[in-house]
Amino acid sequence: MSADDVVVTGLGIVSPVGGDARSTMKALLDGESGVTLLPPDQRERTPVHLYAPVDDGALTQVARRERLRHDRSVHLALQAGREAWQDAGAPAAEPSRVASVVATGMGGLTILLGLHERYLAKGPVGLPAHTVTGIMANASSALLAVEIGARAAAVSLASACASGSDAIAHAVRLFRDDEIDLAVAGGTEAIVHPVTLAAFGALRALSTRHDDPSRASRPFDRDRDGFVLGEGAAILVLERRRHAQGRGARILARVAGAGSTCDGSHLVAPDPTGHWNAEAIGKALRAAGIGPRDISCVSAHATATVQGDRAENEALKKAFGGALSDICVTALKSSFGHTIGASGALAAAVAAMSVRDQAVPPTRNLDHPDPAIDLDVVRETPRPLPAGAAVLVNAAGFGGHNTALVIAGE
Amino acid sequence: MADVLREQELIELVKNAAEEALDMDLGDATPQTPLRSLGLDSLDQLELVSALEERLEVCIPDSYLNRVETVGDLIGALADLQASRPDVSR
Repeated sequence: MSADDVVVTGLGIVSPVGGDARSTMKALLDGESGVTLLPPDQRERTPVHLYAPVDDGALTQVARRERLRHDRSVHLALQAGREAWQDAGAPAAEPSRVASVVATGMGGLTILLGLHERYLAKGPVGLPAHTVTGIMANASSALLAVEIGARAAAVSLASACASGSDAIAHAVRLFRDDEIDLAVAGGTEAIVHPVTLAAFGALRALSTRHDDPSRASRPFDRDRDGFVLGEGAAILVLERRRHAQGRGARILARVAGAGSTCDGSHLVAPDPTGHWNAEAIGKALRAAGIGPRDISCVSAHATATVQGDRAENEALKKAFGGALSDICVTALKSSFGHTIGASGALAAAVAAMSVRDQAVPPTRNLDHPDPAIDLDVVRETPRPLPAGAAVLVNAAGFGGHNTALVIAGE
Repeated sequence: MADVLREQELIELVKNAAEEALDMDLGDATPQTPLRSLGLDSLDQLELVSALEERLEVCIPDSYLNRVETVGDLIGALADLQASRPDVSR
């Protein structure tokens, strides 16, 4: 334990299974699914009808004025960010030592699609003044920076499905470089739209198990047929331990290490050997000053594509070696679907609650494990964790991005 | 009399646009009320202008906007533009 540890003092989540961190964790431990069918009027123009939405009723802290001018990804980030900030006790901090780091895979895509329809119907006069500010991918980090008074940095990262983890990893580097004492960090995504569903469908990446939505997202299962696009946001309040202790803050967990690499081999296909993903995990373990046997659980990226699941299996075998047989694995996308730029932050937030509550949520829909996968995947019921356990959160994204985080209990 | 009604209609239009586009109640605003005193920052003002342009199907040129400080200035600009394009005003 060091006064310079990066600790988690607040959490905020909006997810397909819950409107806040507490209800999301309960739903995950109960093995619930957030996957459903698109409303009938939206099915005509996309061959994919499955998605995992955030309930609009969850956006209790987003004013109508904010809904009118910002993209839905920003609504989710504001809701999660405000929950996290309140959860941390609205900390007072020197503004020049505070950062906002919020990632998104695709930014304000859905607001642009809506405004484009108005533009086609009415021409330039159909475009409101908030068109540019609505699209810009850095809106969430900038708005949260305004709200909490962050003056050290406001950063928005885009590394597809690794974005949320990369935001936390970037914040950890800002702590390590002694630039900050406090940060809000996380990810947000809300790109569900017939156009995006059809677009991911064109990549043959999405499940079309339309007759059984809650069982459509099947990471590691023999009968998976792709991922389900989900919405969500997770924001963590990260703090230097000295700073947190100085104000008597409650400490939930510790971000013990972070490591990133790039496959550098293909724009979208993962390296089937998992080599560079394993290297990212190794970097995170070294940064945490621990070895493979110190990890109790892996929160896998596990989107439920054959290539992705198998590449990750190889990466985990390389990174953990013989220790892997004593490590349990969970795949949260079986409940959330794939929330793209939010997914790594959601997994990190859930890992923080897992080490605090000493319980790993089960993986849904793993009825017939892929014989090519040799992992101890948590099924049916939660798996207990020892006090002070460490969870490795793994993330990989289109672009070959690999980022691993070590989240440890106190 | 017609001019007065015209002005009142335009004030109502501005209030309605502010409510719908900004979720702002302009309440008792009069032509003399400065837009900034209503809590509209520069981006809000442009948002309001966008909403009015869409409703009236007119384009408010920068040369007008640079002179707009009060609700009355904005209404005057809209009235001028409508007068010059009666066929598209509603």
